[in-house]
Amino acid sequence: MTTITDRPTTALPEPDTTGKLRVRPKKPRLFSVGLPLALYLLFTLVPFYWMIVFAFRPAGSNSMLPWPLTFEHFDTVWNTLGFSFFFKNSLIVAALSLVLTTFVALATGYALARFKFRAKVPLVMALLCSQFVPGAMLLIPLFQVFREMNLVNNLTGLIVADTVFQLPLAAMLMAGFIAQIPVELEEAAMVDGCSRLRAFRIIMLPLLRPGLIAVGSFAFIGSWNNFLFGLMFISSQEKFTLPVGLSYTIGSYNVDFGVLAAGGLIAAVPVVAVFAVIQKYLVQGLSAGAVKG
Amino acid sequence: MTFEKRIHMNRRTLLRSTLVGAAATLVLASCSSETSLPDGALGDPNNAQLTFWDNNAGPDRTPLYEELIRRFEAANPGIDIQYVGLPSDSAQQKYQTALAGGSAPDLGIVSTAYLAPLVAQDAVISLDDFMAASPQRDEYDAGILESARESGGGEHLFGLPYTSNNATLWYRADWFAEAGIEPPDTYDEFFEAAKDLTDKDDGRYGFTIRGGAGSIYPLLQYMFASTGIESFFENGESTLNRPEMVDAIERFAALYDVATPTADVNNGFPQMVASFGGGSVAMMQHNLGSLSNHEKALGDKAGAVALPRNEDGKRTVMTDPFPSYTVFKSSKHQAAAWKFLEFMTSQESQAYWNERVGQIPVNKAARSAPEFASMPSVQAALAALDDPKTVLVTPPDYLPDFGKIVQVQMLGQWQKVLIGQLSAQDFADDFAEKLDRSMAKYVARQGK
Repeated sequence: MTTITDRPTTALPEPDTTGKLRVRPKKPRLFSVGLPLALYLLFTLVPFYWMIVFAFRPAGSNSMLPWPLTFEHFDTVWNTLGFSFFFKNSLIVAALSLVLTTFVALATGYALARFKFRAKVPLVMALLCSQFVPGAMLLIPLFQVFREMNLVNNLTGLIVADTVFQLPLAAMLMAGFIAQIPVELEEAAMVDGCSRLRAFRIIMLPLLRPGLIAVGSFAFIGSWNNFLFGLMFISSQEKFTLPVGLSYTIGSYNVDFGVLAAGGLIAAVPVVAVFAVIQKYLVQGLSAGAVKG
Repeated sequence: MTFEKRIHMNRRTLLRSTLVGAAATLVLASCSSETSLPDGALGDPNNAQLTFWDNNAGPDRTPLYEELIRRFEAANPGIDIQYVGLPSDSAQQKYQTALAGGSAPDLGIVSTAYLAPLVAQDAVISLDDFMAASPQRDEYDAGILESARESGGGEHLFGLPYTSNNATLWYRADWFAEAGIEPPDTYDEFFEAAKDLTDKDDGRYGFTIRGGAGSIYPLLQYMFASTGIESFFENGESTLNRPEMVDAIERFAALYDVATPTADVNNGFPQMVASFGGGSVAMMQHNLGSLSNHEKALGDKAGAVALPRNEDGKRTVMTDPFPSYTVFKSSKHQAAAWKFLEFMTSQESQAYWNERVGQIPVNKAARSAPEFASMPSVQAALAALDDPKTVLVTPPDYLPDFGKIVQVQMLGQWQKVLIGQLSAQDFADDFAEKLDRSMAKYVARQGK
């Protein structure tokens, strides 16, 4: 290994004393940048403010603040409406869907990025075209397949459906990300005696971390928010997921805004938490899929 | 073992079995609710596991069903009901997917608005034989049963209704009292009050007009109520573009942005309820089902009257889509399912459910429950129903396209009328033409 001891230094230009070429310090662009951003932030935060106010203030109150503070709506959604079950089910489905999607997308993405094979173009086309098919179109065929396999009204079926639905995008993203990492790194490891699998594990996986996090988080959020499959493939109350449970709060004649807001907050917390943790990896992960280096 | 011993044993076993059987029968007979079933009713009426889908689950109604199920199961220990609540706006899709996938429930609640497609698919059974054998058959409101029959195509009863949910004019009693105006009894009074109670500077409007999701049903109810036309079709042609209907549409649309908030053009039920409950509008048209929203938001400041009379003094009530219990053809426990339906539409169950949601029981015996006396909305609707001058108009839910036309195709057109991009005449002509075409298809399919 080479240690760099002396950095080559470049002589900096002498500061200009005439004042003609002096670079002026940038003024904060209040009106062109700050104001639009502030407005956008306000626009984004209003629904959250609305949720918090309705979730924490008592029913019938017109207060613009969540005061007097009450937890009655949370008690209703958690204990009466069954959000305790829904939350657990959503967590199981989203977590396992994340693991499955990431694992299969990693394998598919690696194959697409590193190998040349005859069916590569048709496979990529198929992955792209599958994005044009709306989930509702898949319902009945999937339902019939799942029924034959005893996967209807079963959380496993839901995990499989979510994984299948999210896999094309995940695989494409992952392929883009893997393609960005120079193949020479793997080859060097293999020249040093590593098998391909070992080279992948010790060289590629650490470098792929932002991509894995991006793909995994999208898989988690996609599955967490999937209403259609949760509603269609599950027929027992205790196995429903959060988005389905949330829709209970809107009846055809009755909308309990407090309960709706409390349910919305419960459903939003894990998504916000996931984004808070992974947001620094997201841009990197997504742009890796967008541009081939 | 000798032959005598075997005989003795068999006698003992037989005696024991007989005693146990007799005791079990006595216990079951004392517990289970009274019912009569027609010959050939499928399955054991006392032993079944039933899956029951509710098409409008939520924090207000689900606990009511769960309580009634608890009572039923206590009275019928051999029957186990698995309740599945569905969100109201996705229930139809869930039924259709389950049918296509071959896993329909044993029984479920469906709206008359989408009963016809289920009938056309031969997915639900006729309840006529069960009804004929039922000791409760005379307790049901004949008018509502007839309406349910018409929704399913006219010949058979495919759905057993359990509640009636009439169109109602909800109003701010305190604002009317302040202004010294009586709640409207005629449409002239209604339009007058809508204008009088509007004060845009103060953020108050006389009425909230529904322009968003679900807006065509209330519009139709208004059109029939204000014109007094008694049927969707006369001599095989739609009545919706008659000159009096066009005038009525024009007059109604003219309220928009004058005596109603501008945002109404996109407003569905939740926004409409929020405007009324939030104190920005004086009147809203909706059915009895929104009672709990108004009670929570306004308490006794919310009043209710039936939709006003037309110029002839008649009240023409177009029925709202109402929920009814259906038994699915694929169920192997139809006898037990009917037993459950009978229990759910018994006097006690009907009073329990309807008095808590503020709607009208289909079982007339239940209407004498004291709680109904203190509900002005129910009393107004009952008075309208009992008035001999009242005419009931049933929408043609049996047309397979009707739901699509009303819920999807005419929605955008109505919004165009509200913002002045389409004339009332063109709107009415388009609506009538779509219904005529749908009727022609229906007649051709029926081979009439």
